Amino acid sequence: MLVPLLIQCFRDPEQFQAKASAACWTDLLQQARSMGLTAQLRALFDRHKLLDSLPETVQKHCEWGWRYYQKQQASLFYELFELEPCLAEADYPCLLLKGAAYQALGLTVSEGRLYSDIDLLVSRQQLNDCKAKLFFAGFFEPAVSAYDKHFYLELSHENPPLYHVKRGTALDLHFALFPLAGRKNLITENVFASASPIAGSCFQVPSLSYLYIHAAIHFFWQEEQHKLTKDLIDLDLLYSQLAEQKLLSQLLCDAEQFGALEPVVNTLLLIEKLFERSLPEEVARQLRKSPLRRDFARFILQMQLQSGTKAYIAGTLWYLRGYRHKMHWRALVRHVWVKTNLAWRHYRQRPG
Amino acid sequence: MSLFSLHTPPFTVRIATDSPTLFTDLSSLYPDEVLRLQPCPEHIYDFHIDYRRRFSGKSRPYHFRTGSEHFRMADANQLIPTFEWGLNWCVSAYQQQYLAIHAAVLEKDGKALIMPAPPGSGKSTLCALLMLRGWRLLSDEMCLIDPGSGQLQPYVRPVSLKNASIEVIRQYQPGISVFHRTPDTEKGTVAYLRPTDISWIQSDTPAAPAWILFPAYQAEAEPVAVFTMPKADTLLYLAQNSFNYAVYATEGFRLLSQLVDNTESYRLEYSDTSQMIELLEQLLC
Repeated sequence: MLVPLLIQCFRDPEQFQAKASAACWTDLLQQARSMGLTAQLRALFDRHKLLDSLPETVQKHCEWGWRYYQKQQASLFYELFELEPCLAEADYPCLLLKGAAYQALGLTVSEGRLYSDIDLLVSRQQLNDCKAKLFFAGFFEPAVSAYDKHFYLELSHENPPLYHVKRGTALDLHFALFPLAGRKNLITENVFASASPIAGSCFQVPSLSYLYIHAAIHFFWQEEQHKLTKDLIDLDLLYSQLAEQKLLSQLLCDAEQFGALEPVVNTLLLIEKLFERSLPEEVARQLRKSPLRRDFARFILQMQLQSGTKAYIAGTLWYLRGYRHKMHWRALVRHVWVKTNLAWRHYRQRPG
Repeated sequence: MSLFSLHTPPFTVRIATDSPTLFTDLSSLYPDEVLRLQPCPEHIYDFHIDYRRRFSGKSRPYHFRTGSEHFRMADANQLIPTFEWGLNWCVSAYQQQYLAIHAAVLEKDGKALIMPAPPGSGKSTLCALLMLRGWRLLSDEMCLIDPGSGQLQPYVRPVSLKNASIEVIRQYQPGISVFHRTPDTEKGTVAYLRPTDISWIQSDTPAAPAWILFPAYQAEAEPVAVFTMPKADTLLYLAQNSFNYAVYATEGFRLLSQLVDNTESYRLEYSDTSQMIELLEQLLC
C-alpha cells in the first residue's frame, strides 16, 4: 500500500531526503502547504539536523511556513495572557486542550503546529460560570437556533463556539472530550484528575497520555476525512514523546479507565504500521491480543490515504462509521428527523 | 493531460491541465525561456497548479486549484484571466519570503516607483503607459520588499488592463498588441499587455525604492494635481494594502517605516492622462 509522502517524510526524514527527486519535493511542499504542515516539516528537519542540507527551494518554503507559525504562536500566547485575568478568578480547574495544551507544555508536536481556535475544558457544573466570566472578558456567543443550542449542550461535548468581540478569537469551551450522543460513557473526571498546573498560570493541562487519548478519540471515532494525514502525524509525534518517557503502559491503563481503549489500541497499531515504529514488546503483546482491534476500520482508513475510486468508497464507509460512533442511532434518527423538519419549515416560510 | 511550467522569478509554477489551448494562449504573454513546454525534471517548483475540468463534458468549467485549495472555476473563454488571478492568489496567500503590498512597481535609472491604489484608480493604465515610455516593469500587481535588503524584487507578469484602460493604451500607442481581450469577466472586460523586453531581461534584478505614488483618476477633477502625502498616512495605507503585514509583525512595521523614510510620497489626481504623464516624469526624473 502506498504511503502518503508526508507520512514517509515524518517516518524517516533522512531516508526521504536521500531518495527524494525534485518532483517528489514539489509534491511534498504542495501537500504540506495544503495541510498547514510546512512549519512542522521545518521543525522535523531541524530536529534531525537536516535543514542546512535541504535543497534551497525546500529551505525557502520551510522558512515561509515558519514565519507564519511564529505569528500564530505569538497570537496564541497573547490570547492566553488575555484570558489569564478573567479565568484566574475561577475556583475550579480550567484545562487547555489540543494545540493550546501542546504549546503550553512545549511538546514536540507543538513545534510548527498551526491552530484555528483555543480549546478549554471545564466541568459541566462550572460551564455557566465560566461562560459568564468569558462574557465579561469580551467573548460572545453568536445566536443559534433553540434546537442547535440543545444539540450542543445535550448531545455534543462543547458549548457553541465563543468569539471575542474585538480580537475575533474563537474559543471552544468543552465540558467533555467526546459528544454525549455517542454514549461512550467516558469518565471526564479522570482527565481533571490527571491534570497539572502550568507554572505561573491559572490554566492546567491534562497529562501527556490524556492528550494522546483525546487526539486518538477525535481521530478514530469521527467521520472527517480531510485531515487524516495531519492527525496521524500529530498522533505519531505524541506517541514518540510517550515512548521516550516510557509512558505507553500508562497510556493503555489510562485509556482503559477512561473508557477509550479502542481508539488508543487502533491508533497505536496504525502508527506502528504507517510510521514503522517499534512498539515495546509488552505493549505490542497487549495490542496483538486485544479484542478491541478494529482491522476493517484501520483498513478503510488506510485506503483513504490513497486516491481514486477505492479511496472514495472507503471515505463513504468511514463517514457512516464515524457518525455511528459520534451519535447513538436513536440520537441520530431523532437529529435527522428534527433537522429535516426544520429545513422543510424554513423552505415553506421563504419569502415569495 | 499536459504538464508545463512557468519560471517567473522569484517563483516557479508547475501546471497540469487538460485544456488544449492554455499553453498556446499563455505563449503569447510569456517568452519561451519563461514558459516551458516541459517541467524541468531537476527543478523543485514553488507551486503546483491543477487547472482541469473536474467532470466530463465540453461545457464544464475548469477548476483552478493548488493542492486541496480551490480558487475558482472558469469557463473556457475565461481561462487566461482566471489563470492570472489564480497565480496572484497563490503568491499573495502563501509566500512569506517578501513583505508584499498590493501595488504596481516600475523602475527608471535605478530608482523604483511604487503605486499602491484601489481598483479604478488608474494604477494599471498608468503602469502600462510608463512601461511603454521606457520604464522597466517590476510588477503591475505586487510590490515585493526583501526584508534583508529593503530592495524591491521584481515579479514580472503580463500587465492586466481593464475596461476603458484598454482603449486608452490603444490610442496612446496605435498598433500595440493587446492580448486575450475577454469580455464579461467579474472585473468587466480585461486584456493583457506583454511586458517589454527590458522588463523580462532584468526580471530578477532588484531595484531601490525611491517614490510612492497614489494615483487617483477623477473625471471631473483638474487635468492634473500633485500633493505631498504625510509619511504616517503613507505607512498606514501601505500596511492596510499589504498581503502579509500581520505575519511580518514588528519586522513589517520596521520595513514599512524604513521604506517610507527613504522615499518621497505623493498623491496624484488627474483627469488628463497625457498631461499627468508629462508632469509625473518632470517630477520624478
